[in-house]
Amino acid sequence: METLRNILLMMDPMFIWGFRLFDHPWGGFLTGLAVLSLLCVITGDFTSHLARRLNRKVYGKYRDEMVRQHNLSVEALKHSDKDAYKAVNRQAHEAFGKYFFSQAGAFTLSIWPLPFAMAWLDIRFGGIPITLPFAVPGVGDSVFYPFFFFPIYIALRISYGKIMRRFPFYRRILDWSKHGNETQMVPFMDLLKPSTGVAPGNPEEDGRPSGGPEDTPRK
Amino acid sequence: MSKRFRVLVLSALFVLVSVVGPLWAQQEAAAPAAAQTEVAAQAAAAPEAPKAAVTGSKLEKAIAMAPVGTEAGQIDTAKPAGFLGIPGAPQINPIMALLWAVWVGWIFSTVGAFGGVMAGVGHVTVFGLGAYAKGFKTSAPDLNKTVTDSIRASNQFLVGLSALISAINYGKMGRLVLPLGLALGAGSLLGAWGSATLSAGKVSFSAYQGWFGFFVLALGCYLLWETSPAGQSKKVKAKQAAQAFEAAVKAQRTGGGPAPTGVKILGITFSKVQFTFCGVEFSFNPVLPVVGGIVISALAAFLGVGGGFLLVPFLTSITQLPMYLAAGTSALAVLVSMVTSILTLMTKGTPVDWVLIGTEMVGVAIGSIVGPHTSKYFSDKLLKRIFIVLAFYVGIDYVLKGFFNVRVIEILFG
Repeated sequence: METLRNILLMMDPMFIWGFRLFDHPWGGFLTGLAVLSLLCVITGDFTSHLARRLNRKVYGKYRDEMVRQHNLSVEALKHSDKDAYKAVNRQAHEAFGKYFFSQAGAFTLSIWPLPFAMAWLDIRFGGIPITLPFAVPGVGDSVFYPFFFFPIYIALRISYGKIMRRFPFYRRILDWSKHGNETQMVPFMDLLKPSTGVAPGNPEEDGRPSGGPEDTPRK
Repeated sequence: MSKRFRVLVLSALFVLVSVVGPLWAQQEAAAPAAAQTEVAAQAAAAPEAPKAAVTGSKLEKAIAMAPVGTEAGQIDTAKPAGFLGIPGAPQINPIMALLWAVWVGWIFSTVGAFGGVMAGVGHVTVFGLGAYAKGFKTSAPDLNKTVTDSIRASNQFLVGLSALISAINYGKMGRLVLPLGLALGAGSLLGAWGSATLSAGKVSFSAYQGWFGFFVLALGCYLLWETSPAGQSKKVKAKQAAQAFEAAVKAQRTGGGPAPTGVKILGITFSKVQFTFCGVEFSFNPVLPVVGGIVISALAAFLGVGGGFLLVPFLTSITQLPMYLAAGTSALAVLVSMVTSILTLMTKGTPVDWVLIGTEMVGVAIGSIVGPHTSKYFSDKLLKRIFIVLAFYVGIDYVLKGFFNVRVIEILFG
């Protein structure tokens, strides 16, 4: 692990420049954390999409099986067939397990840079109390770097996803890495609606728009 | 529903961060930091040569209280810093850490139930952290317990990721039974917080190893039942019934069926909620989700495992909840449990080796991606049998080592 720590130290100039963008101490500190967070988000997002693209056939197979079994369980309920529902639901759970862990792997790749950033921040700022301009109830006026880093990272990650989807090139990347066919998962709420006689999960027939990227909701 | 769930998840996280974060900040603030250096000085000065890593005060105190020397149970100050920056602690080879994590990820994606256990085995046995912590049992109990807590937190970082992804995705989809999610979430919060608070800094490595072994043995027994004729027949019956129903639906061609009749509440008492959905009768005990949430998350937080594999079957067996809803509902509970226990441990000053976590995270990701491609070469049954053997070996070995300080190999071969 010492080797990896040394690599982090070698990359120090790359990470520290953001902290030197502003002379104002708070400005510099917060901008530096934001730049570091953005680096983590972009690197993680890129590797995650790459993994999804490389695995789209496997992921698609898992997803389609899960959706098929789930929709069948909805159908069983529609027929008031409890035994069939329990049997199909069990199959759906099994299919879900496979799909779930495959997605967990892809998701992990989207956050892998975060612990390394934490390790570098620990080298730079670990154990150094930061005095706040005012006392926060329950906290006091002294905190440490994670107090700022985690909220900034989470806010940036959410904003990044929302902003990037507005750009056509990013939507192309999302299309490039998406998997599975266009069949939708039928929400159980549909069972509360009057029957239309349409096969569940068929987007062309039931009027739902076709899917988005990754495992985002396709409804 | 989707917005409500999103608001719920964000609110839960906000409350957690608001409650535990300040405690964490306070705890660290209470560290014997030499000077109250302002951020101004830190950021503006931006030292050219990064200073040496300063880890949590709890660890520093524990190291300071440990005897110095070259023997087991002593801190060898002449040796380079190892795990958590402790001089003379095991030097974890990054390639070994990466490869073991690939194995953990591979198991996650193929078996779906043994990853947390393997993560623990890696930290305890493969990287030698268990033997190192155990060495301080009598000479420096504080260091023994601090390293043990760090191992627990590290395990949870690896296994908790699955909860994070599912909670985010299902949150977007609105796949949650709100009252059940709240009940489970409240139980999980209580269980994880209580377990982590009561055990942080108090569990010796031997006790942790013994209980971890006991859990692995129980998991092995469950896997064994699954591969037994009784377990297999249940699975085969379910598969046949599912296929028969699918064939019947195909034969009808329309796939429509009678008009659904919605939900009809038959009765709600403190011990039983009874309703019909599309004419099918369901019932569950509303107390069970809270109790189940407390027990499962307390156990998961203590052992440093995820708990999702216990929660989902628990949910489906007590409520017969469909996959569409069980996955999202349990994910929220696991996420609350994971965040609570990790933050509680860190609030109590548990140090975390971020470089190790990062390396393992990359490995888990690689393993999880490779797993689905390679699993087709192994039958589910064969995989489970391999893990039954592993579970029994690891379980018995850890129970004997943890509680009786005896190794399986010693018993078998003298």
